[in-house]
Amino acid sequence: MKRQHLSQTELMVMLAILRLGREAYGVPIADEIDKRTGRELAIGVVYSTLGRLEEDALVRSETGEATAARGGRAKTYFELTAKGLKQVRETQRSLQSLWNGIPQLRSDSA
Amino acid sequence: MTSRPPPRIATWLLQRCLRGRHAESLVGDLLELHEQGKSRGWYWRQVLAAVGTDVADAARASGRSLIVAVVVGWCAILLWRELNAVFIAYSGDIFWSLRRAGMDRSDGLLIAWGLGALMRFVCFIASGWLVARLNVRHPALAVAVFAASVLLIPVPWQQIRLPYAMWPVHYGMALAGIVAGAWLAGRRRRRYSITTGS
Repeated sequence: MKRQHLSQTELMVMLAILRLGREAYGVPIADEIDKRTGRELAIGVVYSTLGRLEEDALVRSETGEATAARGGRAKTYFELTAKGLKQVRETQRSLQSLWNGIPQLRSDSA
Repeated sequence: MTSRPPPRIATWLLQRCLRGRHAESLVGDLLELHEQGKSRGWYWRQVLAAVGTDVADAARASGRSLIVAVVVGWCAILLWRELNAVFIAYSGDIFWSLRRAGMDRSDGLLIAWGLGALMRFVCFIASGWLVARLNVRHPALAVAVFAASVLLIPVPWQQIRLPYAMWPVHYGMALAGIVAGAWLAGRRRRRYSITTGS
């Protein structure tokens, strides 16, 4: 079934993955969102969101290296699929069309 | 960097409760951040948030099958309650037969009550088994919701009201029966998956 829309958290996670490129796993994704938006997401929420996006084939994952600092557990890296990228573009377009032409939100009216 | 060990109970809870395919990576991420200097309190908050999110995801994914499983479990209890009422109608006869056979009054009552309690215990086992079997994807969640509903909603089991002192026994028996039924269902499923390799 085609997904109708992305939630705000899903969109933020997907944008953070795009920003991080090859380094996108749980910790940097949460850090990037915190740094850019000031919103502190719990790691569990990040993984829950990634799980949903993966189920809908909007992101895919790849197992990375394990380190001693992680108790010998491997990292899981994420990247957007073509379908995921298309969904982000559609969301941007629809939000942009809502955004445009609102006089109260023009930068010179502040 | 720090070499403090993370809270053991929190890590154990995380490993026991998380079921997602990235559960191991999540645990690794939390250990990595704790190693970088995050506090024990932060670690605990993250663990509780992860477990809470996982339970909420499971409830959302279960949806209708969770409700169906709990309703069927309750139907089993109510059906058994009707059968129990028939037994109670005969328990007086059992009691008087025992008395005529020379048994002490209190012993006779104890046997009659014990048989009724055994019937209820079997009922709880059967209902726990049914609930766990009906919700294959998230049996633990379905059983937990069902057990909570049984503990919160009192079932009028007998025409005579149970003395207050007996309520802990009754609830303990309900909980033990439901968990035992769920365990039996899980045991059978495990055996089936080993046989079929699925």
